[in-house]
Amino acid sequence: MPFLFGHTRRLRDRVGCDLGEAARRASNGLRMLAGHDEITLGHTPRHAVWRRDRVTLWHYPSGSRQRGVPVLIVMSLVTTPAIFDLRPGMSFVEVLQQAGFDVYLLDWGVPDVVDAGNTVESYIDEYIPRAARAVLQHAGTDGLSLLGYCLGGTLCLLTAAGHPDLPVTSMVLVSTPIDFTQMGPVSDLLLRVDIDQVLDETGNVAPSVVANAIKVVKPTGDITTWLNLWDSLPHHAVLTAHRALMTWASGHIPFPGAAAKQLADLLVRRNLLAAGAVPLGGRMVDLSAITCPVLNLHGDKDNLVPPAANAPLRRVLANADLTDVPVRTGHVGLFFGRQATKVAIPTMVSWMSRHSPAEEDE
Amino acid sequence: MTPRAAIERADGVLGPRIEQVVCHEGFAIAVGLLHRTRHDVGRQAQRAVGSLMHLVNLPTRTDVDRLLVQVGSLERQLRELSNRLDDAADGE
Repeated sequence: MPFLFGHTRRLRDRVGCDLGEAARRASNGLRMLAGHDEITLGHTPRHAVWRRDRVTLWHYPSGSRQRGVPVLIVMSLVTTPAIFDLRPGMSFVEVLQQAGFDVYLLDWGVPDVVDAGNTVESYIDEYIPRAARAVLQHAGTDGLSLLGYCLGGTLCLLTAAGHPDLPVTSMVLVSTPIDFTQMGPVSDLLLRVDIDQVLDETGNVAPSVVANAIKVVKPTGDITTWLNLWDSLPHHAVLTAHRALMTWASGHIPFPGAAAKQLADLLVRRNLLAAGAVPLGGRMVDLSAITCPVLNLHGDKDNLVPPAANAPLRRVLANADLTDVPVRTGHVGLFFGRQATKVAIPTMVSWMSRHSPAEEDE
Repeated sequence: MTPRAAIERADGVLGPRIEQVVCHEGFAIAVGLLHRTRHDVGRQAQRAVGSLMHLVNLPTRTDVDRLLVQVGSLERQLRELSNRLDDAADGE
């Protein structure tokens, strides 16, 4: 009989637990469908310190600046930079601030018909160097650290190589493609599809085309996304984190047409970056000109920029002090999730701290 | 088996096969051809509709797009001039 009572109690507890979870799932699901708990990204206070055309340089002031070198974060051209500052407690910017860094973020804005003519040179010879100088002036320092994510890393490399006069003291590259022919179905599509045929009426590659090209990499990715959403429904905090990530991941921006055509020709068809030198702005931009310390962080399970696409970096950065750190995660996992919190972000912060002396040490 | 496990199992079986298809060179060729065909058919249709609309003196979408690009190009030139003036004023 005591055995029977114990069994009934366990059954009752289990049913109670399941009912509670179902109620929370229904409540959170209904709130989400009704549009309550609207997800807004980016909560860390910031102010614009420089603007040019559509581009804005944001400064996230550190309450207690301890590091002598400010960090300039450069995002890819396909999505917004909100991944760096999703929500309070889920913010890379916040972590850098806590480590005593003065953080600057380059935001490309949303390109329109006027920006369709932006070439790769617009970014590497105009926006990034000018923004870097604005950072130096604003922070009152002699050097800065560059941090580029995905194509933003490629742009950082080309800028630093093309402007040896820029005082870049260190560089962090996250999921940066070098051999664009190794990007799986994306490279195949870029080789086969004429970019002119995917430009919209503004002369840019439409965000939907960018999103579909990324979707091709993991065709059943949406199923996993929906399953994760279902799992996170009973837990408000997990649901909020999941929705914040999804809001960012679905927020693609138009890709300037001129830059897209140039990248497809120079970096995919001719694969020049993997050879180490790219003709841009009437000169040869040679990556061997980079001599500063470089941290290269890449995901072992990255489908978008597979390890093979990043591998030639060790060869083309012949004169740089390169630290290579593979992380057991995917493309987004370097900034979001367990591997980001436990491995990727601490690695970046500790490496950057080592290469950015404390202010009193200077 | 829970619904999640069932879906994951199906994804585990189907996912790699679909990935194999999209990674195949033929997929890229098919997408390229599809884009080209869609582009060509769209242009033919627009041309046919355009000639009809031009008969009654109405602008077509192509006319509006062309104007949009021209305005964009003008705005870009203006922006570049304004940037150069700003740079000169800053002493660059």
